[in-house]
Amino acid sequence: MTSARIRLGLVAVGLLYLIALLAPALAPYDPAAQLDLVGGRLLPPSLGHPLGTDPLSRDLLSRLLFGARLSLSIAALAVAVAVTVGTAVGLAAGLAGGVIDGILMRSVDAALAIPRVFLLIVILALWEQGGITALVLVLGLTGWFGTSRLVRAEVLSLRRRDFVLAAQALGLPSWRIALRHVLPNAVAPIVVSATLGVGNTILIEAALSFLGIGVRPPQPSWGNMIADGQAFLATAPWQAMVPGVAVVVTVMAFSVLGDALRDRIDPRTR
Amino acid sequence: MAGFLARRLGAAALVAFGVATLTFLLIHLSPGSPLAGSGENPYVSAEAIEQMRRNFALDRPIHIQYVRYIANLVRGDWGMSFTMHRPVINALRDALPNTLLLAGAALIVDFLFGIALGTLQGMRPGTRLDRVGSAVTLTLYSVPTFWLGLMLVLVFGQELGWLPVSGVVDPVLYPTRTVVGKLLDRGVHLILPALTLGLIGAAATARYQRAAMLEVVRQDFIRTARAKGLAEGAVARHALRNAILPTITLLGLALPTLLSGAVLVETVFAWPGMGRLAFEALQRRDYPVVTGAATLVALAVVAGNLVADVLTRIADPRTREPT
Repeated sequence: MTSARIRLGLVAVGLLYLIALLAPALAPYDPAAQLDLVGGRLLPPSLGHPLGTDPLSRDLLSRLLFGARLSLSIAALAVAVAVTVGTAVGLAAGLAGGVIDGILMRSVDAALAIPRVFLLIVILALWEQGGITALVLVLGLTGWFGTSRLVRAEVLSLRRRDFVLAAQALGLPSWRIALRHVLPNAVAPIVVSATLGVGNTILIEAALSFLGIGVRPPQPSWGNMIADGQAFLATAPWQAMVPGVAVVVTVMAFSVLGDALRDRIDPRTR
Repeated sequence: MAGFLARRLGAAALVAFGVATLTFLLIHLSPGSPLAGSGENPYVSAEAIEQMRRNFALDRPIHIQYVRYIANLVRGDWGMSFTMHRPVINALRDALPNTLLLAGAALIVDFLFGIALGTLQGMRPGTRLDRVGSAVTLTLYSVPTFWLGLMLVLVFGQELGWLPVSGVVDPVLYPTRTVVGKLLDRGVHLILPALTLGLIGAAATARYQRAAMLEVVRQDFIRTARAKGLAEGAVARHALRNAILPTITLLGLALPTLLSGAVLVETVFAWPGMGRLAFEALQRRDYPVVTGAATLVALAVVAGNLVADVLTRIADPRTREPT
């Protein structure tokens, strides 16, 4: 049962990345090309435009495919940043203990108390807009708090185990103990939280792009496509519906995979 | 209980202090100085800039500025808005009740639906009801808040025309209504935003509650309750009392997510709360309002966590010290 769900999740996530990778080959039009501003705006789905055209007469399917490319790569890179920082901080806090642990974890508590979207609004307000790279960094650097707690908890339960004590007794340097002996045993929960984190980051990136402070036009992202469609909810509702469904399906794929992986590690939740 | 409260209050104050420190750091790490615009202006003399630096204490060392920042926060002096010509704290005070009303209503939706569904699923794991429930929560869990809001606007506002889709009250008819009419007007305006925010939260709560129920229903006292022929409703009551504890803790954890969602819901439904205030301030580059809103929202989260801790303690005698 669990392995079937893991397989389903892997296939779905793999397909999504394949679509993102092949977007230039699959897309029938240039996603930024305004094809016919006079007669070709907000066209309903047809053979030439399987999903119709947007308010600026751009092909909706092409934008959806290129949007997948952006959303999926932003989320994956941001989570990579978050997992790296979170793991480093969690390892440091758990192994150092004492004052360092106290300061790091109280800081994480404080950071977790600021709702993420507010935190992102503050950061995006104070730092000038820096394009996609900045967005990835900001999403990554505000996304590691949970991971650091998780890793620290794992480290605390591992560091009194005999194999860690043995490594210490052999006089290995602490960075080596952290990386070679403790970390490999904490990988499973990190992978689960990273998988669920990608889905969550896609949701947040979509929200920021919807607000106009994430991926900015003319680059297509699912969030700003929904924002574009918002004004035409009455006359062309599919404009906002189609990219929304894309977000739901994508996030669901990551949730299914993440949940199944967690059940594999922790059979109690089955 | 008094000792426990004192300890928890101390910890909450520490986190609140950490939040203030964090916003201070964010402001000071940001590129550009507050007077950079004046420096480029040929009509502003060097003396005037020096005067402003002194007036805003920007010439003092950073640790002095930090102490002043914290002291001003505590005194309620949160600075002046750049664009609204009023103190930040006044703008926040106007917006906060709207967000609390929205978040409170959403929290009720969240916990009523979430606990009910999670309990039903957990009582009969693996049945069709459980599987359908899991599919529903998994889907809702993956839906962007703002998009659910738009879809509800599309269905209940535009297609059916049942409910208003923006604002807190009807801008034209509200002043003409009686007291009951005014309350009703506020109520119907609250339904869609609260439902949007609450349903998304309910999906997470239901998943959590289901997991907590699974832990409980396999225990002996539930088997005993079933074996002695108690009605399933009575068994559920026994189980719920034990499974509700982790969910109460979730109350504190749900708050940051709820308030993040509020930014989007307030934007979609033109709801004049903290999130919309912060977002519109961002667009006008009104930084004092942006950081002030984030600080206040974080304080609300800290307070919420404190309440959740106290509730857990009341609900679970095991967490109290022996008397």
